[in-house]
Amino acid sequence: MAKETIVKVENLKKYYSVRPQEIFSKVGQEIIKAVDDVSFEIRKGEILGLVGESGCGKTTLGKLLLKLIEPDEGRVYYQEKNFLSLPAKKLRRMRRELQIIFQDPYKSLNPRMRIAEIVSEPLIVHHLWKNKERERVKELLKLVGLPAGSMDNFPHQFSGGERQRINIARALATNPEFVICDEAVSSLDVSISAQILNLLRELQRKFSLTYLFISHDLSVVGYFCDRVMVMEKGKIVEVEKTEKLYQNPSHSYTRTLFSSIPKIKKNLPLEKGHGQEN
Amino acid sequence: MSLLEVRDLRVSFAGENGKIPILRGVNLKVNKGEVLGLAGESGCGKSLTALSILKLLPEKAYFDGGEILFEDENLLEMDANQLMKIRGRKIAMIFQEPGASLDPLFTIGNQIGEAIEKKLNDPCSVWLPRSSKLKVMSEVERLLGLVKMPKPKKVLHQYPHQLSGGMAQRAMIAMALAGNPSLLIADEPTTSLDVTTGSKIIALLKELRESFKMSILFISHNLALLSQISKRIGIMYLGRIVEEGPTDEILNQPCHPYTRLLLLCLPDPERRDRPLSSIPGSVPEPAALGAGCAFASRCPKKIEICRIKEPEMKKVGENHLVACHNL
Repeated sequence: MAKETIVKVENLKKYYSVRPQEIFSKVGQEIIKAVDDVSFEIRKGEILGLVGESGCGKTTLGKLLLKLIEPDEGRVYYQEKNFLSLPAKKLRRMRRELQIIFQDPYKSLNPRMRIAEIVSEPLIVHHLWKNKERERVKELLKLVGLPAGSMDNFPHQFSGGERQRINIARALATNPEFVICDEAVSSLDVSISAQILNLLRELQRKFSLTYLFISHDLSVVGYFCDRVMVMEKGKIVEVEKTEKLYQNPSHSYTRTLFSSIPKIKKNLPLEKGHGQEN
Repeated sequence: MSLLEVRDLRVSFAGENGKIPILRGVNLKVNKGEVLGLAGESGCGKSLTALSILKLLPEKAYFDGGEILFEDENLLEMDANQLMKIRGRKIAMIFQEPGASLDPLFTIGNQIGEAIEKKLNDPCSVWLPRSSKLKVMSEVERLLGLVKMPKPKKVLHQYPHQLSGGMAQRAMIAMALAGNPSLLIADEPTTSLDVTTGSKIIALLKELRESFKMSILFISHNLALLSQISKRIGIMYLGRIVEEGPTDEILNQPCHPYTRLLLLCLPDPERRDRPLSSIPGSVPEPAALGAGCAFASRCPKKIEICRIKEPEMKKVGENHLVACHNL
């Protein structure tokens, strides 16, 4: 695995001020530090996990990296350039390389658009595969394991797992280098989530993608990611190789977090299952 | 001794082209003081089973046969008045999204108080004299203390939106305890909560089970979680329980092919090199089910008879039952 850095984040900050508890009172305005002076690097070709409890700023951090929300301070370097201060035109060019898959496959697809329109939208925005969009869509659907014949259907005709596949197809449309998976499997059943994780890993190897995998599910992250960052109240408290972190967490918060994961006590090894992919 | 026994419970939905069977003969038993776990993927009928027990079926669903025996009385034959004496008193329920199950317009004190008033009085009366109002509030405070609510006095006057997810779930549990139930049905009570909060709620439920001598029917899709709270679990697939037995045995020596595949889908941080297996095919539509085993279309171990005859539960160990032809 190459050790080259693909994304470098320096001192990223995002604060929100919250209305005081009493509606007309002016006192007691609170500042919430959603992302508080965060710096880290993502290496090319790796799957970096980001874990933490809800409200710790995981999703905010993901959105900041793509400038979907404006940071208060800080820099995000991508291809040696500060992504956040790029002029609009260059920013748009850069966004081809950076994509995101959202959590809820029911909310992140426009119910009034056909699958072909949904998946080809990024192509149109970025002027790619001009006049050959449908072919590209076909190719993408095949890639994520959906029948090409379904491209003129609407999202409601698909199950949760299939919708997440559509989301993945859309994210990969522009051939990105870096994909943020924001709780991409959290709303799915275990057997479906297994299929999506296998697909994501297969695609990652095929296109040498880099993922930032945001999740609150520690066993998924432990299985799927190469390195893991632990976030608490807007700060990153620990970054470590997965095996090392899971065997021997050093930060006290990480330890509390890990001790609360329910585990199955295995006395006997399971026999090899049927229907394994890859 | 069994507290709750569900026998061959069938619930169907009225569809456009005739009935759609959703629960297709559920059999389960909850013994006194026991926690029974019920697992399965979404759509398998876990929640519907729970709702059936309290006769809270959604509009289009109806009972299509079977019995629900609670303390040897069939709940399905009771009228509304008799049920009132059981719901919230002998059988209480907590739901997945605590925020959604609390009324946003009433304070926590009022909502839990309502449950206590129902218990103190005739279940159908609404009004209470002022003196008993105060008694009710002190009782609510005691309940909030039992569920280890932080600052119970303050929470009494707060509205649901002011509580965090964990606090709201504690409030729900307090409300459930108001009737001093002998059976608590917990439908995915920690799914919407963070792991750390979730594990505290689990610890609380365990403790309350001890001190109240309650039985719990604990429903979850998370097998690892179930293994922490229940000694016995049932695995559901498409409206039937396909395997039931001691938790350790099921998780370590699953007999039904579905249980086995389900366990292999779970990501394990200790076996990172192994690609996750997935269950081939997809869950068939309940309306399109023919004769034979519901899992047959996806089963790697199917034999001829699986397509023709629905398998019965067979004993494979002490208290371990499996519904599969090919064992």
